[in-house]
Amino acid sequence: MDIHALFHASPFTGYVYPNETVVPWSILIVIYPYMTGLVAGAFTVSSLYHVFGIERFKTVSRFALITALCFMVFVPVTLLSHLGHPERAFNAMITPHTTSAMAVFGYVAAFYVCLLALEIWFIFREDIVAGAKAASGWKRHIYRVLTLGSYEVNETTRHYDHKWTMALAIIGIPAAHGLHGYVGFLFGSVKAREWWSSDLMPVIFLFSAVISGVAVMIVLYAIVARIRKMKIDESAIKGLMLTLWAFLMFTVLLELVEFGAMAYRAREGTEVIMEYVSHGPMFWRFAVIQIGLGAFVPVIIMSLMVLRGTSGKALLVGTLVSAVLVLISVLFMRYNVVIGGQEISKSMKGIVHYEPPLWGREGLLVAGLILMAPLGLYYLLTRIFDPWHIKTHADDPVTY
Amino acid sequence: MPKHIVRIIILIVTLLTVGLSAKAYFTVDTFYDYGHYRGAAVTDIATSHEPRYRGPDYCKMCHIDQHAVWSTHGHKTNKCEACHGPAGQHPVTGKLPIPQDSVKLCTQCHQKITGRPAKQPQVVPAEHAGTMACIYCHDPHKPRPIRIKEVAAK
Ligand code: HEC
Ligand code: HEC
Ligand code: HEC
Ligand code: HEC
Repeated sequence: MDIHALFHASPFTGYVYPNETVVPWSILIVIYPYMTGLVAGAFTVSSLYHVFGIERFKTVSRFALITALCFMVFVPVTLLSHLGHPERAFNAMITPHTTSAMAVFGYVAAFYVCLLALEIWFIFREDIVAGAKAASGWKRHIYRVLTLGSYEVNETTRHYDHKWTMALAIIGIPAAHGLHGYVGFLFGSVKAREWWSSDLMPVIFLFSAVISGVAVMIVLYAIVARIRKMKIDESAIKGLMLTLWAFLMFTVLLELVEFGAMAYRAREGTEVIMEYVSHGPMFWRFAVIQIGLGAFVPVIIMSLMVLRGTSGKALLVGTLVSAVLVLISVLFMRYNVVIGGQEISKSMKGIVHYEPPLWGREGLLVAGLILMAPLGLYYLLTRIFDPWHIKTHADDPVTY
Repeated sequence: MPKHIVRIIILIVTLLTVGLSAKAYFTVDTFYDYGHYRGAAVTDIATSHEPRYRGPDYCKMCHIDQHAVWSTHGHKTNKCEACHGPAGQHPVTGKLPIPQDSVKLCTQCHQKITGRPAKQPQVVPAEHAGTMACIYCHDPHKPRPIRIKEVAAK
């Protein structure tokens, strides 16, 4: 091993194996499931309209799709910048092994990106054609390429666009959720780590993905509306809030059930986990922030709003506060899973204390930049695809 | 079928073909010959020059001085080739390397690491030597007692 890696050895208490003082899955691996989660959640929001036909979500349905694509593009960046030899990552796709979850995942992720791009293309096709005719300058060129040389817009093309959008949106649901459930699956299958090894892991990851995605839609919607001076669609906000509320309650429940099961099962070494959670940094990260502040507080705020039928400005503020708290909670959940699992020694007799560095390839700064990069891409993409211009046929939900 | 549907299908099929051809192109020869690995790797490894160690007694034949010092001091449990690399056909094939970066060399065994057996002498290089080379104070063949050597303190 490169001996310089050893200079970053983390401090520890109790008995840990020497190789465990180096925490290999760093903060970038925390950001990675966080971002896939946002993608799956945002896609869910758009599907609620495109597939399930819930009218409330019409305003944000295109916005959600574009956001999902922006985040999805940067998901692999986290993994690639984590690897010392990023170019070797592609070997997993060139010679994939069917027994490797990671290799199969490469294909699933690639498939999903294509699907997302294709769905966006179909939904925006009428806008693209209009742009190719009306726009000027560099935009015109982009639109013209995107039309694939066909300016045809009539009932037949609308019918086809609509059918394709529908089909893609329907396939997209299992794809988006499979993509994320898989991340939980990877962690859940690590038998040697009590903190990870749980069949509930994929489910918890899925649910927290949905809540983080819905929450990010709320926050971004509020920000974009502010910047573009748009009127916020209260019914959409209410719908997003209800979705967040419902899924959040399930998520907290599942997280507590998982933790409770681990505590009650009390397999060998659980004492160290209990000590880890009740004392030290995990107390703050898990009990206070992830569960208390990030889950219980928003559940209470939203329950009160639902009970009292809050509307208008108060609804917006309450929803926004809840959404921000949920985003923080899910980020801490990812941190507690990824880093937490590595902090508990496999000796089950000691704990490593990991502090993410600020600088460097695996530092907080790089992680923050990657997390913010999708917003830049969003800015660029929306120069071409205006998510707030909704009137074409392709947007219509499925009719059964 | 409208024109754009036909075109998008053609585009998808084209991209798929490009992807699959790229996969085929980048798959190294002999990869699937025997299993999920490069078949030629087997012969490559078999015919490669494996390191060949000769042991300190071999060195003694010619490097009597170094051997005499080495065998009576603290490093006598470390074979010459642990620091100088496998001898193979040396001296016929050329000189053996003299490790240049002694900090890199010595810290391989003397860096303080969690879990390294306590009976192996260990130091924290930054505290122990600052930025100085280890061989400035320690003769590698006779690590104790210390000496002062005229070398660039790097
Ligand atoms: C048959 C005699 C012989 C044997 C055995 C032998 N060497 Fe050498 N070694 C030489 C000769 C000759 C040179 C070249 C000296 C020169 O050119 O200054 C040399 C050079 C070296 C050098 C480089 C010295 C310098 O000043 O550049 C090292 C290091 C070395 N030998 C290590 C070893 C080790 C370790 C062994 C035992 C595995 C060994 N040798 C066995 C004859 C031998
Ligand atoms: C702990 C690692 C280590 C071991 C073990 C070791 N050497 Fe060296 N050797 C060195 C280093 C480092 C130098 C360079 C010293 C310098 O530049 O002052 C060196 C230098 C040499 C040289 C060049 C001439 C000289 O004395 O500077 C020869 C020849 C040599 N060693 C032979 C041997 C032989 C033979 C043995 C075994 C009997 C041996 N070494 C064991 C590290 C080692
Ligand atoms: C291959 C591993 C290895 C390398 C490389 C190595 N050492 Fe050692 N060193 C040892 C071991 C093992 C001992 C303890 C030997 C014993 O107690 O029998 C030791 C002992 C020592 C001691 C204490 C000697 C004594 O008499 O108590 C010093 C000082 C030392 N080494 C310095 C160095 C320096 C300086 C270098 C770099 C030039 C170096 N070592 C490179 C393995 C190594
Ligand atoms: C400024 C001079 C100096 C330099 C440079 C230096 N040492 Fe030492 N080292 C000493 C002295 C003095 C001792 C104690 C010697 C004794 O007790 O006989 C010592 C002792 C040691 C010991 C034995 C410790 C023990 O517990 O027995 C080791 C191992 C060692 N040094 C390794 C290194 C390594 C590795 C480097 C390079 C990173 C290095 N030294 C550089 C001066 C130096």
